[in-house]
Amino acid sequence: MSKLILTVDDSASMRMLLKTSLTAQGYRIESANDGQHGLERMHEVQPDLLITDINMPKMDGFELIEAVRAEGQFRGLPILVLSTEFSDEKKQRARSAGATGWITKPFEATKLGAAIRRVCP
Amino acid sequence: MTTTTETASDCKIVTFTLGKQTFGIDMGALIEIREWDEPTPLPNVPRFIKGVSNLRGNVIPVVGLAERLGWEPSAIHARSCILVVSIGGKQAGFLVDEVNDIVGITRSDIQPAPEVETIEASVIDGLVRITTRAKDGTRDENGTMVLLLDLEALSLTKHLDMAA
Amino acid sequence: MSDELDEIQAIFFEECTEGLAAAEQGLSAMQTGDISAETIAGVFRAVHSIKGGAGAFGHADLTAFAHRFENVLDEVRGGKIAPTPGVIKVMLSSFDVLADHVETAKGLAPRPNDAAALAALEKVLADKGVVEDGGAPAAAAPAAAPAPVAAAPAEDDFGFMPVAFSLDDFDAPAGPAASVASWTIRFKPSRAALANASEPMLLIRELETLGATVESVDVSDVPPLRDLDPEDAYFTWLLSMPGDVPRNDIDDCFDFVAPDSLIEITRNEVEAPAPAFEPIPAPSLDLEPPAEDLIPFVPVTASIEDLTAQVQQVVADLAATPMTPTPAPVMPTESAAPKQANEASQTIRVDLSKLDLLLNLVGELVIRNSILADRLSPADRQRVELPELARLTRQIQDNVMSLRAQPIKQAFSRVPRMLRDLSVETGKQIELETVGETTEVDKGVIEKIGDPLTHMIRNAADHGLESTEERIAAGKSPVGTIKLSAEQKGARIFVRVQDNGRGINRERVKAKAIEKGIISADAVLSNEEIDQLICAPGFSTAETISNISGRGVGMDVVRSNVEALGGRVEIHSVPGEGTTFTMILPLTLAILDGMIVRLASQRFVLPLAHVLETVQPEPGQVKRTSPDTEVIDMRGEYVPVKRTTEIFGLNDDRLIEDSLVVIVESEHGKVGLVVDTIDDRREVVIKSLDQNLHPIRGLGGATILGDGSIALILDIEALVASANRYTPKGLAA
Repeated sequence: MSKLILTVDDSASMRMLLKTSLTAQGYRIESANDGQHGLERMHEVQPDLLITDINMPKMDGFELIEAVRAEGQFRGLPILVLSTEFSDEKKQRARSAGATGWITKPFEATKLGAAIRRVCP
Repeated sequence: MTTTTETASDCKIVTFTLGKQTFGIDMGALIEIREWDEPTPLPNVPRFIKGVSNLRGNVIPVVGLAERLGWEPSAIHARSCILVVSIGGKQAGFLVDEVNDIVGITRSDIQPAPEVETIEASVIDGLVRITTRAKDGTRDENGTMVLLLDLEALSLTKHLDMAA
Repeated sequence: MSDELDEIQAIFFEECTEGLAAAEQGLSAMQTGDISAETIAGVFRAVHSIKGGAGAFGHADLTAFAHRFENVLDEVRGGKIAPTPGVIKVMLSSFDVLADHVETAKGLAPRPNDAAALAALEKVLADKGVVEDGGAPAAAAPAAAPAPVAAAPAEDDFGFMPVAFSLDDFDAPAGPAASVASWTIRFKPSRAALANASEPMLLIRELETLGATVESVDVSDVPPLRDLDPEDAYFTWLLSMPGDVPRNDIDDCFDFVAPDSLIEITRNEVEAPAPAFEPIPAPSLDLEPPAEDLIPFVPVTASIEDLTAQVQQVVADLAATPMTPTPAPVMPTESAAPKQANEASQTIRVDLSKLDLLLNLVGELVIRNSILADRLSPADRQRVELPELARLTRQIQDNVMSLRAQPIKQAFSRVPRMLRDLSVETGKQIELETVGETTEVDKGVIEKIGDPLTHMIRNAADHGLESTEERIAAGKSPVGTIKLSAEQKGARIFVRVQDNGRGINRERVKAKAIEKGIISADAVLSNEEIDQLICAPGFSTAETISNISGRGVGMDVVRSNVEALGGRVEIHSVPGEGTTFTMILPLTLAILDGMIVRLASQRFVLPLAHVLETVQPEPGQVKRTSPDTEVIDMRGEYVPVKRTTEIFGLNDDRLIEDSLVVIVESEHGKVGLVVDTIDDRREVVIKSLDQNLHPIRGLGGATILGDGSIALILDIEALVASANRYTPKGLAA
């Protein structure tokens, strides 16, 4: 069974781009449209990897990661955050929230794949 | 029906007859071929618009192609068909006398449209000769000349704009 | 794939539209004093999302502009720039430019000139630097580097530079590294990195793909089992890497686990040419304590896969150890979030054609339901199941309709921008007031009122409102107001555009109408009739054709557009006080309450809203007043009779006494329509004829009946107008 990835982004086009790109690379994709929805979907989907946007309504990406990490069952789950820029400060913020790594938008399919392989076997 | 011997074709057309003339339209525009069914007549439209029909919940106009080309209206008979086509996102049905075949042609074989009597030249895209095998299996050496219709030029809305 | 991308891009543009609407709404709210964090964050998010998507689809100009805009919004959001009216004004005009950039990205407009907006944004950023206590970060002034190509690839300038990885560099030419060198890498992941689910083996594997070889694994830090924390990291890897691999590529691999992990990368220059993969002696690391004191290095001969398996085994064993002494800090697992999440309304995007199909099917269901009812015996009809079925069907229909309903806000969203532009063009000060923008209307209606609405607004700004001087002279506030409102009354929507300007100059309108030959010189018209002339074809009152509304199309286009939707336009004007244009529209374009009538064996639908009554004419009740006209005597009122069959060229040799006359009413008066029979009264699903053909005069569309046949829907307005064309009361002489 191929790896299952949950993508969380409030932009439908970004979700579809991720889905198109990752499906082509052999991953199975589920998605959610904001942090709260993402947290709910986590239990339902039990993904192998979580990819989340940061700026989202209701619950942002950092809050989502913190909430996910707070649950024992997701402690070992690789999590990538997606954003248009990663300053050192932002990377630190992502790390302290519990993110495993990050992906800069816009992404190229190969880089996206490389980032995923870096955190998810 | 006749079958065609194909050689490296790069384009498929549907051929049909109106009177004695064979016409062709791009296969890509064809949605379906239906039996003739009397459409619901419309007021205030040109004569060649026979009315509207229900195509799976869509209301589509039905056009008497012969009249549209300026000929005598087709008589309705057992083999009368409606070719449902898509022109620029709009659907329309064309009443034709008989649908013949689906034929592969090579674009480079298409010749420019000649002056054809009684037809506006603008609706003819070009002319192509196809080789057909008759029902008895003999090969028709001369082939058949097919007039390729320019569906865009037949667009109903375009015509109505001019009529308006 | 490219089709797929186009499709996704189309969705992105849709999101842009929504995002722009949200941003504009937020900015307008800020303008009226709402500077709550939530509002500001909403605007920021909208612009941020546009930037992100634009980057993904390669719209560089849009991305760049959105980025600059976002910088300012970010500072406002962070409280570093106060949202003063001046700042908000800059943001509003930046918003307009952003909207223009979106149009450009769609390919609908040439690239806007954004220099002024950019300059204003940069000024806002720069001024903040002065206002603040000198500590303004350098990154806050990206204006200094306007040329992204020339700029150093630093991520603080254009933040979307992909700096996170550059794996695709690894098969780039290795460069002229003539000297054979190598890298020695020592890596010990931090506890924190492991806690964030970093997998050291994956990292090692990635280094291996770059050409690295694992030299050894130092397990000397592994404590006795009872002291072992399975969450901690104890292994230290020592790798060698060919020297032609760029340092950046190596650093990249460690991007996620830096900075708190132990990462030492040292370059070993080798004098003589040597095989790149020759193992590098480890002792170059003098940090290393003497090995003998500790558990010796384990020589690695196994493949990385085996190693992974081993490590995993070890970790698994450790995790399974019952005496695990330090459970990871257990955080409260009872999160409050899931409860709240249930309240959040979630949305999915559905192709409109699917909704239309659903609507069609429900329409069919309604029809079948009524056919079934007809076929049943009266006794069976009383059974409870049937009304129940009808009720459920009705509910489904209402629900499907509500799926298509959208707040009219969407149609109103263009107006603020338009008025800002108009204000600049006309030099008039205009204030917009909006009421009832949450009123829900069928999506089809919203799509179609955009143009009429635009025109009404332009008309109000251009003709309705006076110039500032004129207003002051008239003792009015120098700022003109345009009020845009929507409300639902029954099955109709009233959309009003109301200005507090000069009102209609009836003398001038009448003179113009006479001059244009629209009315005869001796016509006697009421005030209302004069006002209506504004909507007459070919009428334009502007003395000089202005750039704004005098473009050859006028209010007559508004009227015909609205009538084509089954609505009408009303005008109310008070000299000196202003003018109100009201569009009265059907709530939906999809369903109609209709009367099914039969004419020469063809069935037609009459919109029930127009039907007054049905009469079976008595002999002598219908009189011929001229060879072409008949009237019916309705209790003393003479109503013209229209033989609908004439219009359609159907054969009609019935005596009028054998027919029925349906009296219908519209704007233009009453008319009696002659029909053969009345079949039914029911709701029908409207199919527009212009979907595949063209609108046809006299028809409001078509519908598909229960048996699959088509019935045409009559356009009462048009029929009545043509019937009354020759009556003296008509305006159009």
